[in-house]
Amino acid sequence: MILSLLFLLTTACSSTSETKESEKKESSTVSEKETKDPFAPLPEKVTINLAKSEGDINLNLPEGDTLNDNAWTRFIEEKLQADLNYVWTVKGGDPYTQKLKLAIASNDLPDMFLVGFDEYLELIKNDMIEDLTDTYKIYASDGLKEMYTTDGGKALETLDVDGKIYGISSMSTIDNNSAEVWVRQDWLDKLNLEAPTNLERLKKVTKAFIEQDPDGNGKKDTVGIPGQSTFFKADMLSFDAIFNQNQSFPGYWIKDKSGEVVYGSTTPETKEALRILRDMYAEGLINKEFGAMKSDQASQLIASNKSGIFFGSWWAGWSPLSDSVKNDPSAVWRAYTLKQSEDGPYYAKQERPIGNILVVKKGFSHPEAAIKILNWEVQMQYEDQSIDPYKGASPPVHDNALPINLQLWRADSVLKLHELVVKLSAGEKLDEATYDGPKYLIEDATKVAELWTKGEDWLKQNSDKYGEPLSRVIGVQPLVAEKNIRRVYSEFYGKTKTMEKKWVNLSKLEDTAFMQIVLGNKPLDYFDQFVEEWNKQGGSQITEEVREQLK
Amino acid sequence: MKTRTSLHYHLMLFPGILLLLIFSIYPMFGIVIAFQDFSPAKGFWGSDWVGLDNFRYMLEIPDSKRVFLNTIFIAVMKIIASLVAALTFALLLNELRTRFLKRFIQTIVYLPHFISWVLIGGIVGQMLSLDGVVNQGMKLIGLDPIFFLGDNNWFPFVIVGTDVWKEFGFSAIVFLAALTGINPVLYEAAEIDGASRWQKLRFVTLPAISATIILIATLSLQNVLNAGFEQVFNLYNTLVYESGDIIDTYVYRMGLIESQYELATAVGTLKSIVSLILIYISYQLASKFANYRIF
Amino acid sequence: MVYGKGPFNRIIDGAILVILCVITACSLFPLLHILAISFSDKSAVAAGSVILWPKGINVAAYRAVIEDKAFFMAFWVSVKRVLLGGGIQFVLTILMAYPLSREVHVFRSRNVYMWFVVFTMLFSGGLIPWYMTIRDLGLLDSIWALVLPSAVPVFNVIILMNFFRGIPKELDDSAKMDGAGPWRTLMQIYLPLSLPALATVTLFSIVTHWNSFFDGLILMNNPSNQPLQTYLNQIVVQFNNSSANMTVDEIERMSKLSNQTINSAKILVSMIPILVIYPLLQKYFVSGLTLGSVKE
Repeated sequence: MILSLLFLLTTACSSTSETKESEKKESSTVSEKETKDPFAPLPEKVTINLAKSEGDINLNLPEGDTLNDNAWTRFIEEKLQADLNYVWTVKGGDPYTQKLKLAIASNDLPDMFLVGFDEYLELIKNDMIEDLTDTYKIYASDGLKEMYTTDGGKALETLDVDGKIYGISSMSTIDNNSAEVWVRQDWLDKLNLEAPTNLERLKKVTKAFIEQDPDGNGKKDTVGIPGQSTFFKADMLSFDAIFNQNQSFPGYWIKDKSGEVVYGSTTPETKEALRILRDMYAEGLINKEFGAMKSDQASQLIASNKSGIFFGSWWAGWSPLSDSVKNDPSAVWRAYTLKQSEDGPYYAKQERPIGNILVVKKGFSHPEAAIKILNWEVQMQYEDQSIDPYKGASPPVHDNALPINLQLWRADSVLKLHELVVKLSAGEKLDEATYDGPKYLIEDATKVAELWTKGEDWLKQNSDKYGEPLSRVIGVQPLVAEKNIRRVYSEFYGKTKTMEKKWVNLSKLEDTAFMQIVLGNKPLDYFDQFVEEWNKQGGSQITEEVREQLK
Repeated sequence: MKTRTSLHYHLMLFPGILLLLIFSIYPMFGIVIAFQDFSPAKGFWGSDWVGLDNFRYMLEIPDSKRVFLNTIFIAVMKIIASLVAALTFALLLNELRTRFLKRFIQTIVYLPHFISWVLIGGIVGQMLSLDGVVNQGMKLIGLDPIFFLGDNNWFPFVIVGTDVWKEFGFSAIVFLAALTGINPVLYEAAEIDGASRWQKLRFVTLPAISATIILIATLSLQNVLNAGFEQVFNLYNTLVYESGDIIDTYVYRMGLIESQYELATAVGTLKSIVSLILIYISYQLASKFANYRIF
Repeated sequence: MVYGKGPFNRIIDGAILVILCVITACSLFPLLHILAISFSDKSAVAAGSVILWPKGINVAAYRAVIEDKAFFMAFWVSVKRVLLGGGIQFVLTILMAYPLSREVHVFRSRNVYMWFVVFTMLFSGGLIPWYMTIRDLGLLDSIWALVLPSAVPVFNVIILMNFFRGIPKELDDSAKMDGAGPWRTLMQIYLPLSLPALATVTLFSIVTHWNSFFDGLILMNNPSNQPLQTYLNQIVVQFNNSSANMTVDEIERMSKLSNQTINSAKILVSMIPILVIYPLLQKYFVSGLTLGSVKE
């Protein structure tokens, strides 16, 4: 009841805003007013060509429904009087990129499709997609617009190219990859060590874990901190925690002390962070092999409990930790933040504020259809779940069955969900009617809280269920508890002219230099040589261009 | 009479040639990208022409020189190693008397040839990790563990080694064929002269198959720029681009993933031209030294 | 071959046998390794403790494969492409190899054709124009896109051509005397004598068609039209998170993707046709793959 009222309210609101719009535009005929309703059908029957990445997942669709023809696609087709047509579908993410690249190169694009940021810029440069600035302003529903306020406007700001927006993106989740230190609490307690919240303790703990046989099997078979070869450009199992606590943000464009934008990999702070890593590597505190490891190989060291300490995001609970617990039920994992001093700031490197971007092919007759599909999806998933034709399906139908699976959710959903779970597992009762946060989270939070209240012993015996509560409760806790958190974004996510030609080489130069320094193959002062070389090979020119574009 | 027969030959070739015209020759219009500042929206004929700029750029960047050198180094090593391994194996197998065992061993050593690199890449990665079987074995005999897949000094040899491992059995077939072709009378004669086993190998077997060996070596010349795309693609990582990036992986990355169509096409075209020259040389060498026509 | 006798020779024989056995064992290792993984428990595999003997033996992976409709659909596409593509390649290989095996004085345009064929093998306009050509012909998403562009296997043509060249010219002459034209000579004299080479090139055709994945990825728009290797490539593809913005959804996918046991089972099942066919044709390799007549 309340929900439907809400629904009425939103439509009412949006129609008033439209009237204003149409008044401004003078030509306010009745039919146009109707089409400007965010939820109105398109003015004529339109065929929309789409592309899709299926993923190797079970969509849990009821018998007879398929990825390309199910209750959700029919729902949208009916609401918009559109005919959705999938011109190509692939299984995974990599093949999607390949097919997309091919579609761009051969100028054979679907009407609307999802792209990454690089392709977004490439498409704009080649004038292949529609400007959606006005379309978004006119047709976006309140629910959709409200969504984009949850990250403080970061996403829309990032999408902006010369004052125009050419696509609608998903938002990154706040703190999704803020680096934490995950540690085996049982080993800490056994060896009587303090939690690794600063560098000194971190080193002490790691040393003890390597030398004092924490797993008690009488063999010296535990290794140092595992990492993967892309150790400063990855989320999980990177060494970001070390860089960040030293206020170094390699790969990001940041403001230096004088307020000028510089490339984070070239700062003195980064040199210092590399020194720390180099020393740790030399002391054996970092796994000797990290330079050749992909993330799943490094994860294996944790899954097999050869290492009891690593840097990872809040979601490490799913993987690798649920495997670790399965292999050794005595494992107790806890997460901490690494800082320079107890009450000093915690620097949390944030992801690029946008994820996939929905764009519309240049020349497509009804660009507003893209916005309207999103309006309905947001409406159905978050605002008024009663209109969802798959409401209550068990197991729930996977989002990828949506006509456009943009994965739009609030940027603060991880933090909000954590708060809800904690409240619920403490026995607090929550009512949809009285809760003033995002209500759609309550259902998920209830499920996680139910699991968490069963206790960790039970969860460890059912280790396939342990991942989510471990991540959402233990993993997020330090981020929520942190009083002095500084979230760091890159100042620039685009691609300048010189970047296009030279960036690949510069990145390679950077990757190799950092790796060689950490491995000790090159002296620390090689860093200065790298910076010089980096500037010479186009870096200084790129810096100029970036500064120019940010003006 | 002659012309009428020729007509039939033309007729036989017609379907194949037609398909090659459609699917190989026609798409070659794409080579124009190498001379353009290519923009997909403008297409192949609408993009701006830049003359030889892309080739100039290719020669400017250190990458292209490196990938050419890597390719040649890896390919030449592969050619030599696989020749030696296949020949040795063929000679060993030839000494075996039990027919059944011979067949059995052949069946198994040919097998890796039929397994894709995707799969082999995964297993090799595991075996060569510091924890892997190889390093554990080295530890047993007191050697320091080695970082095979992440070390620029070792990586090319890993490529060569795994390639030999996958293909030696199958490459041995040509030598086995040559060995079965040796006239038994020669061995009988050697026997009567009281030749030892080693002498028979040295003075009968090897000379008899020397023509084949020379021929195979000559034919391998064509492959000097083919270092094995699928293999390298499945084994390399950013750490060993320095030593492991070859022409084909580079062209693939630039041409599709990095959207540097012009550079990729330029490098690919240069490779084709050099390959054509190599094939011509190897054709001439084979006909001169082995009196053999490749095609 | 004649062998020496005596104890010394025995020792050498023994040593050779041992070396050969070691070599054989090395060749067999990967297959046994994934066989062990496919029968093992998922977490034991994740911990990297399975080498040659399965741990926590079970057939869950195979049960999952059997229930996977997409897998068998892709399997069927591959079977179709092998039959159709293999058939086309077989016919075209013969039709091209025969005229090209003629001497220049018999067939004057022979060298022109030959270098043309070699040229197509070396040069290409790149992936994108190739794709656009096939698209413009309307072949996308059809089985023909998988078999027509690769209808002329140049390498196989050269193998068969060299084999044809090794067939004594006297047979040709006697056929001509009997009044047989080129077609009858090919059918009644050359083909029956070329069984080993035909078996070899057929196997090559089958294996190439069975193993190729990239064309299936590029040219098929609907997953139900994709051949098996394309399907396998997509599910076995490792989750690369170096550039990704991880979302909860992706994390879930990652934990599911790490399912090595099922993937190993799928790989093994996909290898069955090759494992069955190639030992049958193996006996032809040695005579079929000779490089034509090597004159000394």
